[in-house]
Amino acid sequence: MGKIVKETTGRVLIASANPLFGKGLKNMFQRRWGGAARVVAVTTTMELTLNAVDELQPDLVILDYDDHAMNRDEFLNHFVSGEQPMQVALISLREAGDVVVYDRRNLTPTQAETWLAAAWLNSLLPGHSEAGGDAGEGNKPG
Amino acid sequence: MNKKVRLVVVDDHVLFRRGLISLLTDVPEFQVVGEAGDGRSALAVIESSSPDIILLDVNMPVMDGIQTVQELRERKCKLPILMLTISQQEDDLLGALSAGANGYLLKDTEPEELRRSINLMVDGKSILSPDVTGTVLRALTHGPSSGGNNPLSDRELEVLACLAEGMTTNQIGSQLFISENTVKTHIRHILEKLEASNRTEAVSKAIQMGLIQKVN
Repeated sequence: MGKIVKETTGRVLIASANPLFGKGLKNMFQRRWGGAARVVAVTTTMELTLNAVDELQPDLVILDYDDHAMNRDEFLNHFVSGEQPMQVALISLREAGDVVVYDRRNLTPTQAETWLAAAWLNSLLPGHSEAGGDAGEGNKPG
Repeated sequence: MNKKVRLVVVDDHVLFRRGLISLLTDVPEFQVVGEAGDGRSALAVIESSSPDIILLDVNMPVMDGIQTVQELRERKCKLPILMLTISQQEDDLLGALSAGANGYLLKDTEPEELRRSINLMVDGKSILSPDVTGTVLRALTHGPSSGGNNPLSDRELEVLACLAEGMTTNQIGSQLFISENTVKTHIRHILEKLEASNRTEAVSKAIQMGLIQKVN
């Protein structure tokens, strides 16, 4: 506790063994983000992904969770046991359906009090809470 | 200066489609002139944008890729059509090729390989992903496999297997990491495809068809 919540998201890790998906996301978001954020790595195995999470400490991880090279349970266990603020977007290449977003934050007691007063308004997307901090599950993007 | 190759990209997965378009836009000889999220919308986009080649997903809502190829060929459209899909199912592969697709590539293709394939197809060649060539050769030699009567997608089979184990919609969602709404959509498709009136009947029919194993 007592850590300052980061206001900007700057370091992004993309985890997907699918080159068109991983490199496509990297290309697209780097254009959109401009200098505000950068993709620090595109990992293609679970081992590389977990190592990158620990070593690079990204602010956002985009995980292609249906990828056979990835293990979503192993990743989420790793995520839940971590401490640094981090957002995770679970995206499936196999499904054009929902994207699940996890948002882990560290708040001071005062910040938590403010946040709890209207926690549902603080969610990135409308939806219900899940494990690993607060999480919103939104509708599919299209 | 050579004329750019005009592409239309059709895929219901917005993030994949936009990412792919981003990559294609970086290729100097390519110009993405249209995009769509389903086959029905694609027909209008293709008609209005005069592409040189169409990149088409297989599994999409409203009108899937195979139906779209059929419709385009019925309209006397002679453009090269490259199926770009995650599906390695024999039904999808043979269905797309017999409908008139000129190429079938899996989405795990490297961007440079996709670029080469598009250029070859625009030059009149046909393309097959090495991972599916064996399926085509087997089908030509021995005819479609007995699994060819499987109407379900990989994900629908997974959902069906969960149903066979007596899982609830919520439990299936947790197991497969998809929302309950997505599970319900899959179940609706399963019931339609198997012409079953309820989940129990769907499981029973699937076992009879050999799509899933009986759970003791």
